[in-house]
Parts: sequence; structure tokens; C-alpha cells
Amino acid sequence: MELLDVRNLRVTFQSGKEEMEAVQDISFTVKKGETVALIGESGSGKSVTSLAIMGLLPENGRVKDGSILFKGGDLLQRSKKEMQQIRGKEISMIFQDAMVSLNPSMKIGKQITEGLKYHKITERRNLKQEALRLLSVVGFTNPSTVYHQYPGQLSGGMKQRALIAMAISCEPELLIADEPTTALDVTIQKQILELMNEYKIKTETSMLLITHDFGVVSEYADRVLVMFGGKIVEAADVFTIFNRPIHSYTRGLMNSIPRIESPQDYLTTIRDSAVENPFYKGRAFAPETYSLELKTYYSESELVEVEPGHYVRFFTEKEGVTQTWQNL
Amino acid sequence: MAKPLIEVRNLSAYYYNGKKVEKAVEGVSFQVDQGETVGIVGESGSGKTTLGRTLMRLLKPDYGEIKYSGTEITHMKEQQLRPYKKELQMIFQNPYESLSPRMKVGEIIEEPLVIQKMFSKKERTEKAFEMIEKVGLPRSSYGKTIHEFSGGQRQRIAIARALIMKPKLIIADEPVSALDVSVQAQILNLLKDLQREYSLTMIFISHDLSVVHHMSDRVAVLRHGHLLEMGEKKEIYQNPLHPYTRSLLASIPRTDPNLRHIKQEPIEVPPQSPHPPQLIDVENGHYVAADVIEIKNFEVSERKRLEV
Repeated sequence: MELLDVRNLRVTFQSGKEEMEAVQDISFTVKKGETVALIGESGSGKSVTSLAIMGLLPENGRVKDGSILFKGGDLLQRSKKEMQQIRGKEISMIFQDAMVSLNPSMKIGKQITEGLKYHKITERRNLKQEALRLLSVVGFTNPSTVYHQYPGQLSGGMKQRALIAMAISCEPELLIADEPTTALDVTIQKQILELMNEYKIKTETSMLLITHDFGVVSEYADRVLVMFGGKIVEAADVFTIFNRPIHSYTRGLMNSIPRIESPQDYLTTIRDSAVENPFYKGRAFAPETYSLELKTYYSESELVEVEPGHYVRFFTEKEGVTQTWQNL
Repeated sequence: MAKPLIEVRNLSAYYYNGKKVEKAVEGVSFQVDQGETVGIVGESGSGKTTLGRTLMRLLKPDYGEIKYSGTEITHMKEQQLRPYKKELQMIFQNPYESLSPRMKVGEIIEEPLVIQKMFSKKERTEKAFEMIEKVGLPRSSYGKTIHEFSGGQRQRIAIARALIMKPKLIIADEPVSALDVSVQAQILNLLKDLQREYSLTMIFISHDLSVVHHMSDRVAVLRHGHLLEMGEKKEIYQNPLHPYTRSLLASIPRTDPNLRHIKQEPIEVPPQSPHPPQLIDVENGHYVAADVIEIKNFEVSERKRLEV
């Protein structure tokens, strides 16, 4: 049994009379101690997926279909109250923006002890001691000072550390980190990611890492799910994804990052990658035209296992359509 | 040799908050030659945006001087500045905030010409259409408002607006930071194309070391308002001397999981001195901030490098 097993998840959003499917039939698992990265651009559905797992979808969003099995039980069948018991204790989440996730009018120490108290993790008289310990785990050299400070008195990186201290306070089995370092400077990003990774390895916590950054994925993920337009288009272990990417979108995303070690005069855009991709040969995938032309001329396959553990979604030309990629 | 288009000497820009003085930029000197792209990298609070705005004279410097094409423009009044402002244009980070939501795209692009009272109305419209095509948008964009456009398209509109003045110098402040990676690549390619076509001089400000590497000929490293290191791109990235530059480079996540087992040890960065540093030329225009002790260290490592 996997720790997290998401099956055929569909999430829709209602805006006015229209219903938009943000997550379209995705399935994946996270094993104990494993870091799975969900990578994609804005609108790919990666954050919506994480919110659905946490049971924190906004009012106009709902899970239309599928199941989210956590330790074998379906989270979607839990009541609000049961979810409150699970959130923060068994599954906790680190958001991108610590400014929003921390209560600005409550001292850091209190915010950490609240969680411990709510989930009855620590005996009352040991609360403060435990909070101080957590603050030093996340790298504060002066935990007792930070304990009495308000979020506004901390820098961006320190706030993110405090947030991590809260997230790990109840020793969750699954940590969901949604762009945890995107708002931070590179030097701080590195410290925070190293910290999270060390903690994860030491405690065998599982992690679902949501990011747009292939660098972060290559340094810390075990397995990678590439998302586009609400679907997983490619999935494999991190080495396979980087050494043998197949889907044009995956290749395109990787090629469009400027690299210091192998500079190019011009960056390859996703469209260029699609044209050059030997795996597709005229059945390429073009994000710009995805929604309109592609749907008209191509049908999408399910995820196909091309080698053990490496899944790719293919496009095939619809019968009777002579339109080729070049004409799109 | 190329002539300097912009020269900055001992530039300082402070923010006053009651009795507190925040020294956003202090004692910064450098020059940008005609036709080159100088990248300015720094983390938050490094003063990179303040520096860009001061060069545009959107902010008044507290000390130092700015020479544009040999003329000092540091203390010029708005009226005198006008002819220079034509030649300097800026592209901002957030195309959601920097473009008016009420105006039509055509009006946004033409506006700088209107302000500078250039050309007839008909000519301005023609030029706007020309720019719209140049940045890769359909002509029909002219009559639309910006809420119909995506982030990348909005940044194209901002670029069209900056280029309609046929500027000599573009200051781009984090122009792709708000964009998705795939869109970022398109905008960077567009900027490179246009730069070649118009022989633009560019100051490219960003926190992203990979993007700065991609765009620049020379690179300047800013930290807490001080310029710590500057030189040819190759020198800065392959032979960084200042510990801060080295720590920045060591923090970039590598895009190859096969390198994962090679641990990158964090580099200790000494606290910054309260006074702006002196820059020394180590070799061929590679400048680094150093006090006497550090210079000795650099010389040693320099010799070591040559022996290898």
C-alpha cells in the first residue's frame, strides 16, 4: 500500500455558468520517504491537485470524480472535522507565500504551540520547549528570540523557516510543499531546500513538491510528474526524465531554460522543440495551439508505459484529417 | 573602441524614512558602452531596482554623477532632461501593473510619442502598427485593452511601447520574472532580436543568474547597495573572485540530477563593510571589491589558477 494514492482525480471550477476542468483524470502515487515533484506552468493544475488532497479547494471548486487514498482510506469520504484532524498532523502543507500563511498578529512561538496543542502532540507544560526545539531544527540560532517575535519582524527566509517549523511540528507523514522557495532569493532558497531535504531524509517523510523550476526538481525529486493543461503528460524517475525526456512539452520546458554550463545564443522555445522532436515526427505538440487546433486534429492517448516506470501521453492524428503540424 | 553611452561615478541613492536613512545604492561606479548589454544581478534589497530607476532619473541621486553620451544629466531639470528621456526607455517587471488597463493597446504604445509631441496622429498610428508587428502580435491588437492579453503578450506590448521612441538605451528591470518559463524564452529571444536590429545598449537587471548570463556581455554584482564585482560575463561566471559572487553561483540549482551526489558546500560570505568598497582591476577589466587583505588572497588564488 502506497502512502498516497491518487486515482482518476478530476477537479472542476464553476465560474458563472461555465464549468472548467482544472484537473482532468490524473493518477499518481507517493511512497513512504519518496519526493514526488509535480512540475508545470501556471494553469497546469499542479496547485489545484495539492489543494484537493488537503481538502482546501476554494468555494467554487469541487472534486468531480476519483479518489485520494491516504494510508488506504479515501480522504474524499472524510468529514470536515476528520480532515481538520488529518491536516497539520498527518499531512501538512508549506505554501509559497509565508506572508499569507502566517498570522501577522500572533507571535511565532504561539503559532507553533497552537498546532501542537490542537493535535494534542505535546504535554502542555512542554509546549514551549518543543517549539524552541523545532525552531532550532529549522536553523534558527536564536530560537528564544524568534519565539517572541511577530512574523513582520522576520525576513522572508526566516518566515519560511518558521512556516516549516509549524509544518513539521506534528511530524506529518506527508509534506506538501507548493513552490516553497519561489519567493526567496537564491542563496536563501538553497538553505531552505537543503533543510527540507535533510529533514525529509532523516525522518523518512514523504514529500509532494510542487514547482515550476526544473533546477529544484533535478536536485531534490525522486520521481517527476510533468503536468500540462490539467493532465500528466509525462512521468518517470528523475534521472529518466532528465536523460531521456520524450514528451515535447517536457523537452520544450527543459530547453527553454537558459543554462550557464551550455549557453545558446537563442533559447529553444516549446514550439521549436515540438518541431524537432524525433519521437513525434509531425505529430508534434504545440502548447499555443493546444486548446484549439490540437483538439480538432489530434486525439490524445492515455499514458503509455514506454519503458519500465516511464509514462508518456502520445498524440495521434484523427482519422480523415490531413492537416499536418506545419499547417497549424 | 566602443564609446561609453552611460557613465556612473560614485552614485548614491538614499531613502529617508523619518530619521532613518536607508542607503539603497552607495558609491557605485561603472560604465556601459554603446551596443553592449550589462547585466546587474543582486538579491532583494541589493539596490538593483533603485539603481535602474536612478539611471532613468526617475529618482534623484543623493551623490555622484551620471553622464549620458558625455553630458552630465545628474542635476538636470525635467525640461532639460526631455531630449535624453527620449533615448532612455525602461521595461518593468510586472506588465499587469505597468500598463494602463483603461487605454487601448494602440494608445499605450503611442503614448510616449504623444508626450514627446512627435509626429502627426496618422504617423503615430502607423508607427504603432509597425511596432505591434515587430514584437510579434497581430495587428488587431491595436484596438484591444490589455486585459485581453496574457502576461507574455503584455510584456510584448511594453517592449513595443519602449521601442517606438527608437531609444538608444533600454533599462530592463526583471522583464521576465513574472512569466512562465516557456514564455520567458520567447521574450528573451525577442529582446535579443530587437537589440541586434536596433543596435540597442541594454542594462538588464535581474535576480536570476542564468537569465543574466544568457543576456549579458558584462555583469555587475550588487549587494546591499554596493557594487562588489564586475567584469566580462565569462570572467564572472567561470572565475568569480568575491565570496558573495561565488556563493550566489553555488546556490543555483543544477539542472542535471546526475550531479546530485556532488555536494556544493555553502560559501561563507563575510559581512559587508559599512563603507562602499574600492574596486580593483584584477585583470582585463575584471573588477572586484577588496580591502588590502583580500587583495592578497585574490593574488594567491590567481597564481594558483595560472599554475593549474
